[in-house]
Amino acid sequence: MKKVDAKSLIVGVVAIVGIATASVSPVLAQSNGQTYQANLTELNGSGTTGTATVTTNGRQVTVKVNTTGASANLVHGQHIRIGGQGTCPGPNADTNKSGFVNTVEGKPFYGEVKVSLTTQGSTGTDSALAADRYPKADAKGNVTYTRTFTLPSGVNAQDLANAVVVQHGISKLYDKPDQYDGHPRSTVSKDLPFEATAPAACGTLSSTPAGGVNTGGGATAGIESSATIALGATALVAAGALVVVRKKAIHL
Amino acid sequence: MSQGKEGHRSRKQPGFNSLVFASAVGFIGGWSLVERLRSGESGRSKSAIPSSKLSAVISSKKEQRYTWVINSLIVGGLALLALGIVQQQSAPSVTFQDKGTINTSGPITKAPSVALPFSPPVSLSIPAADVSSDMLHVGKDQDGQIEVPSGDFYNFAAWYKSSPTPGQAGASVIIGHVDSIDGASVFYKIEQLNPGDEIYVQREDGRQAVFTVDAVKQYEQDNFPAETVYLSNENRAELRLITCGGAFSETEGKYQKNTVVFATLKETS
Repeated sequence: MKKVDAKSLIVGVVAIVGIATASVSPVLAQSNGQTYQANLTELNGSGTTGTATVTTNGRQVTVKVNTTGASANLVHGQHIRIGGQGTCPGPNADTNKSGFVNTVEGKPFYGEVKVSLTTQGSTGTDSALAADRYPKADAKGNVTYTRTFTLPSGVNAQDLANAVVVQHGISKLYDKPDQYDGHPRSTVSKDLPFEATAPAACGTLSSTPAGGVNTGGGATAGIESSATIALGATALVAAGALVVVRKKAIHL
Repeated sequence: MSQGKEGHRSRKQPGFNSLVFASAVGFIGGWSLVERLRSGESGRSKSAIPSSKLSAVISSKKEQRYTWVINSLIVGGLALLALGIVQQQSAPSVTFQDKGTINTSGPITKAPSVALPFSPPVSLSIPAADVSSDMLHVGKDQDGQIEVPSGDFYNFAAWYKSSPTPGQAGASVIIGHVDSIDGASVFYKIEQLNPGDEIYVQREDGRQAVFTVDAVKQYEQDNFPAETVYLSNENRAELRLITCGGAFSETEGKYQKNTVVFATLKETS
């Protein structure tokens, strides 16, 4: 147990240093790394949307997740999922016709939990349901998460090219709207209510664009209508030549 | 690049017919003017040369033919030159100076709670740069660059759909062409924007996000600071407008630089 505490302390210090570095330095990340970004859109009518960015530096990653419209004052499990189609499930994913796309029904689309976006301690698959180590939404329903950590074993930085970020927890589905309650149990744990693990927001990670943007055809660069101008100039030269020719003819 | 220039023909030369009409009027007007001037000139030359000698050397028919051809060439040439000059459009400035400061280390002017939720943009309006456009949603092309509008949609502004929606926390990215192979395009004037100018984005949820320009900068496409442009350090709702600038390389068929407008969310409605 003492070993675990020391480990989480180190991870915590690393996270704090990471945040401090990120906020002091105007440059976001080392250029040898890669940054992925995702737009998180709502699932199951949660009203939760947001963004996620993952910046890699070797096996070290800095993950930021910001969502709004999340169930206020409650914990929201969140993971990076890999191995599916790299997409978010649509309404058709509700194969048991319950009216909701549950965590298991979404798996063919977003894959399995590979990284648990916990606030401290392990980030591996063993922490997938560590309800006490996930970020809590504030009173307005905003979740703000930043953490720098080393990717858990079994996950490589390049796996993030086909990965999905999913955030869970919708308290308004059953009974009291501000609590995870109600009879239906989670499809991934009998110990948790369905509301606590119901997928609330989902987004596919996409690497930031390479380089600049090719946004021009060149029409306004250089001289336009050069043929028109050349023809006009030629006509004037010809006129001048004719005047000379005629003058010669006159003076003959 | 692979889009093919053939697809970029949606923009016609502005008012080509009226230019032809103006040229025709100019031709007739110019004709009479030149005729008068030339007759005056020949009058002077007649005084220098005895009229008997002149009439002996040139038949009046030949004289008239020469005059007609020369007048045609002068007036036609001038008309063509005028047409060519009227069709000139100033290129994106090659001597562009960066303006303003990117809002990277300053205070967070808008907390995340003030920022808007996800909602894709539907239109863009920038009065200071004569921009008014419906919005396309684009991803990345095979080279990993942001896909650019083509064909019938060439002159539209386009939101990069993996970036945050305008008004959401983070750097929302909107691109547009500076020109086509036919003339100016939607972002032709954005390099003329100045810090403090306003940018209006209408969203699918009916809300409007208003941004204020912080800085306008140019970067070499070959040395593009992707993370500075495409990402935001803070939980602040920011906007980037990107188009082409600098010199146009005929060999590569593209501009050498990108003009980037950095803006921060000012207010929402």
